[in-house]
Amino acid sequence: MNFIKGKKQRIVIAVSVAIILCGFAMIPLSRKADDFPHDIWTHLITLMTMAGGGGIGAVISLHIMSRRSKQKFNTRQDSQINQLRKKAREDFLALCAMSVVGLSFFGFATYANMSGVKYLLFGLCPVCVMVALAAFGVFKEQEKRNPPLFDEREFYLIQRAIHWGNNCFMAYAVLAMVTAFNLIGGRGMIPVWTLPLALFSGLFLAGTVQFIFLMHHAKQDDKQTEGGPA
Amino acid sequence: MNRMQKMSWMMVICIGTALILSAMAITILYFKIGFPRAWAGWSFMGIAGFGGLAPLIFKKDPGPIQADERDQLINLKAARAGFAISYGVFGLLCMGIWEYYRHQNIETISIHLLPQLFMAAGITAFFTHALTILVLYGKDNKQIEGGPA
Repeated sequence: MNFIKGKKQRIVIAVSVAIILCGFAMIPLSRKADDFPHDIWTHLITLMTMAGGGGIGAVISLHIMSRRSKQKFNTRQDSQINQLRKKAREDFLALCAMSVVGLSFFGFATYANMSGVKYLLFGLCPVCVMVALAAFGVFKEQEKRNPPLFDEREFYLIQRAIHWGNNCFMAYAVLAMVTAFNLIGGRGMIPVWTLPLALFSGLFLAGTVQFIFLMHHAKQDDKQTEGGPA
Repeated sequence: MNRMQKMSWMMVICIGTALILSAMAITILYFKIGFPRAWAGWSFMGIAGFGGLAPLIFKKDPGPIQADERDQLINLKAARAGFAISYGVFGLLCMGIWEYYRHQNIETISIHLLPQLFMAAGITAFFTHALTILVLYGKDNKQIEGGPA
């Protein structure tokens, strides 16, 4: 483990490996319990394994991100980058990735529910939680190490973009609700999967609005730079 | 205390009162007549709507400057906090309900759940916004009092 320099990261990896090994050691114990694999032992083993996996994943991601950020930092100082465009692209890419992962999970869960392989979900849910936590931790760490260099105007525009995105999300939610009432009627029933679908589509809409808003102002920045006084 | 703080106090009091009265009504009705009729206690949440009258009750200041940069920043931060928490609540409710009904093998839900979800997210947003404004102003005032002369 020479490539991992941090003491804390090493401790996290050691604890994660220990948790995974303990989880595996509990498999023979769990076989003695009734109703294997749908009993509490299975959930416990799954959770332990996934927690260990999540810990290792978080350490590896932190390590990779910190190396990349150092490389990027050296090149960024010399070059003039349109910060708004960069932020808009990064945010939009993250949103697309989140939507793909979220919808895939959602689709798989619906499929698993339909085809009666629910026990697969017990493993998938902790993975998703751990991956989400690890990604959030990596993101926060990255932001702490390399704080974004926005000036006041860019900061204000970003805030406005977020505000526009939030308003669009609210308008979309109200519109979806009113449309559903109009189509189905006051005593109707709706499928349960419409709730997560509404959530994901609303978040995607809000993110897209933010992206368009920021890209629009980034283009204006480019025009001013090209046509401005020498 | 400026206008924004007064409006926030009114919002917090209205929503807080509505929540407490609703909880009390649901508890009392539950012991009297049981669920699902006890859910009628939620109707006390209508009191939260009085918080929306705050801009009418607290008139704008007569001077030309209504809010300085610090006020705007606090409002911006509070709005972001309100939306962030309401997104969280909305997401948790959507996914929680989906997960619960999936385990119960129920494929459809009543359409009346939609406005309830939306109301929960909205009330959370307004409540958090108002509360964050009060907290941020309180924090700033403490820093000013305890800061270097």
